[in-house]
Amino acid sequence: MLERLRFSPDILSRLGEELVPEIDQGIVELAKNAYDADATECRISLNEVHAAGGSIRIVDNGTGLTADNIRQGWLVIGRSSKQRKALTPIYGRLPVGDKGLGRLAALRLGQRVTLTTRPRSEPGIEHRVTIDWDAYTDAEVVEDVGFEVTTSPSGAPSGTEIEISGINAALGRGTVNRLARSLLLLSDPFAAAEELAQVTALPTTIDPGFKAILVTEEFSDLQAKVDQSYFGDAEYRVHAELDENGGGVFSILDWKGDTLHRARSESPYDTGPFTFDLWVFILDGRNFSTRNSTMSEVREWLNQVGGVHIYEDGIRVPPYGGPGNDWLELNLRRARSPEMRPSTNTSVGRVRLSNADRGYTQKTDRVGYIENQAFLEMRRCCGDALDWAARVLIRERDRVRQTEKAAAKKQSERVTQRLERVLDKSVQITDRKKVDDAIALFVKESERETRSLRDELQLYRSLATAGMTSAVFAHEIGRPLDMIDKGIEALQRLIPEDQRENADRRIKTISAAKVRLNSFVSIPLTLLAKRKRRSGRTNVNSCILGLVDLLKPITDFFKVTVTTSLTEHYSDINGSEALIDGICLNLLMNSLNAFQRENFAQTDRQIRISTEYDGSNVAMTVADNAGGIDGLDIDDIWLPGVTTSPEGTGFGLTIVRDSVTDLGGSVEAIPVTEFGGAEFIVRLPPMRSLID
Amino acid sequence: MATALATRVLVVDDDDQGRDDLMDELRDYDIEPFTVAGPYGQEIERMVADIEQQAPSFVICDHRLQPAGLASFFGADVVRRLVERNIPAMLLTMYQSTDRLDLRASRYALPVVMGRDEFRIARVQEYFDICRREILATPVDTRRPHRVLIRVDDVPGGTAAERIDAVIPSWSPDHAVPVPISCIDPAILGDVRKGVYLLGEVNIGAESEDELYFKNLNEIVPAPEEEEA
Repeated sequence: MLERLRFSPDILSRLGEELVPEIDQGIVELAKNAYDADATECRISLNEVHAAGGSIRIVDNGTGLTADNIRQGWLVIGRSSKQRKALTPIYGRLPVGDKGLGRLAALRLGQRVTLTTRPRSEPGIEHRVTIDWDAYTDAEVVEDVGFEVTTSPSGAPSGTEIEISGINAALGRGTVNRLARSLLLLSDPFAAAEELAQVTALPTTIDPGFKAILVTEEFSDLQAKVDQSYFGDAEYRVHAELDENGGGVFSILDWKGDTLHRARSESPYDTGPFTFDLWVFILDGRNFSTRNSTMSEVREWLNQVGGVHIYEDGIRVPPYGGPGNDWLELNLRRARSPEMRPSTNTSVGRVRLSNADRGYTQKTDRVGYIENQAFLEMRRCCGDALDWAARVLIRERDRVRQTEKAAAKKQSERVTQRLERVLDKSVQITDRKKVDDAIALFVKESERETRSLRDELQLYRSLATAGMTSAVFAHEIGRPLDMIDKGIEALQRLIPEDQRENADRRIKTISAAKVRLNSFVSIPLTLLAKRKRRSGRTNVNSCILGLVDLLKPITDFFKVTVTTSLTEHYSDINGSEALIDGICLNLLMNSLNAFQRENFAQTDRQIRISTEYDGSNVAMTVADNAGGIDGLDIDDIWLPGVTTSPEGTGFGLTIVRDSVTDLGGSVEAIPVTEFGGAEFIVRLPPMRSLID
Repeated sequence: MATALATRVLVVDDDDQGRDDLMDELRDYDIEPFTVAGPYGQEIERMVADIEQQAPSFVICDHRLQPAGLASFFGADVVRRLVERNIPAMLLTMYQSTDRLDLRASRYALPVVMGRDEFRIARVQEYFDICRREILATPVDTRRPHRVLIRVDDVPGGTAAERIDAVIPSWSPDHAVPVPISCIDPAILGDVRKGVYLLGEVNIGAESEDELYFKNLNEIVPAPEEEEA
């Protein structure tokens, strides 16, 4: 008698839920089976899945399965898809379902699964089979458990229904959300964008399309968001197309779909034809002020659908374009050269490829492609398209700038000529000299103003450069600082016992110096942290506390006591931490400098920071006892470049004023108070929507 | 001249850690360090008197005394007063500081000005000796004044100028050095323009621009070429 390999029932969980741990991916596999069955719709309903014991139904209107199909196909787990599959009979679809491991995982979600199917080839008939997973608990080997396929008459149209009942574990909201998103994105929801963009679509078939619908509230919410298409709000679209010979054409299109730039790729790519599209949005208030959609709508939409998705023959391949998946390294590219680069938060994209020749191989767990030549070349081509687009856009922007400059010059010449003509006509020749002189004076004055603005700009630039440089080196200085610590430890071991006490004292000095250095270094890094520039609800009190803490080593060094008295009431404003930090830091530095003025002495140096909410404003007061503002007109202190300190830039208070203005507030200076120095009161409008 | 050693060195520094560290280093060289406590506010004479009372053989003084509030005047003024009282004293400035240029106006009265990056405890006796010889009116070569021609290369800012750019041909013929207006005798200031020559005392033995001082710039002379003509 011949022996056979047999499998313990344990293998079912090995191959199912353990291999495909993401529940949503398993259910998506069932939806893909519906697609392969030429269904146009697949409805997935979740019944009481928020607790164990619920059920899941997957119903499609496809071609159904014959009894033979069930035995030879549906009940066979793990048949390799490597062999070329035939196109589906009705719509000629390329089958996307695979070895059935994801399907196994999904089917095993409950205690029991019932398949009911009505094959199109056998009208009036319905087959049914039920798998009771409990039956495997007592079985020796998988093959010991048998099921019966029953057949009965039915008047319903063709299709397949799978019911998984007695769900083992509750499906959390997160999983349901993920499932909704996966199903929604399963078949390219961006197709509508094509019409808008008027691009020649890939060869169309008579396929009416496929839609997977999750019957839950989560899904309709999400669907509403996705259906609302915002492609028209994109700033531009990067498009790449690869032909049969691996030749690529890159283009940049505007929101209407008109081609702005177009170029052939420099070298061919060793992969099959595909198209790549990336819609890039510029999420800033100025851009949206003239549009129908709001920035937050678009942001939310991008949040839901953003990312670059891959559609293989019309069906999405996870995880590309999923949350946190940045397979084209958009963010990295942007970090390397931030100018004119999209990030995953500001773009949505899609790669459409055909896998008819099996160039791409999906991983066994159905999460992504194996990174073979075909895939890597496709990715390289997309990357090159992005790099090309960034180069073109930077050149473009520079050209615009130069043109604007030239145009401004021409315009000014034209205006001057016109002025001359008007003067010739309307001013009497005797008065002409007077008028010319007055105009010349006016021009001279405006030129002076321009010059001073240019000087101001130059100073801002050099300050920005200094800031950036110090931030860059602050990162680098971490290593030598670390080396000091290690060096000290190493030296300590070398010191003989009798010298220990003396040496320890000296080492303490070095360590203290290092701590001080550390804090100096961490200041620019902390201030330049990206999150600080994000606008939104910002708590003034916590900004102040953070800053006071950050500056502690410095205020200690200057022997200044900083006391805070912060309101327990409302202190939220609408702005960025960076602005509040800038205001607060400049006022503090102003005080620190004031203490160091020549010919002024204060043995008990104090700075007081307080906040208050008076019902209409959040007020921040910074006061010191450093003698007050002296030798300057109180109105002049805000002017750029005005300073009493030889090494000061005179920009601190200008920045304070400008930042306060940006925040819609006001700032007032009192030259000297009873406390013995200047006082600055910054009043900022509260974030009203959040009050009460 | 009998050799003398700085055995008792007084350190003036507003930064406690920096001061303690410097004092520890001095001890390593068997030099007895001490300091003054302060704060002195604007009372420079009180600080000088406190220093004098302790009879140091040498004083090392930090230029910026304001940051941590030891005093609201500058170390340069302290050193100048000490040297006038025949107490050898040197000035320490910050790393890469712009102070050293600003100090040019009083540089002639400051025998040794060192950036912290170049300052070495091992050379304290050398610094001390330069100061001592200056007090004894036998300055070292690099500090000896010579009455020389100074060509005004530029007066940036015109009447509101704070400095002139000058070339001292006998020191370096192709090197313009900024000289504070305050170094020039007010009596001749009105005639100082680009291209004129001044006479004044400069330590042309100085090795670097930082060490140059300008004193008694009180005479305008015809350009050498014109003289020949």
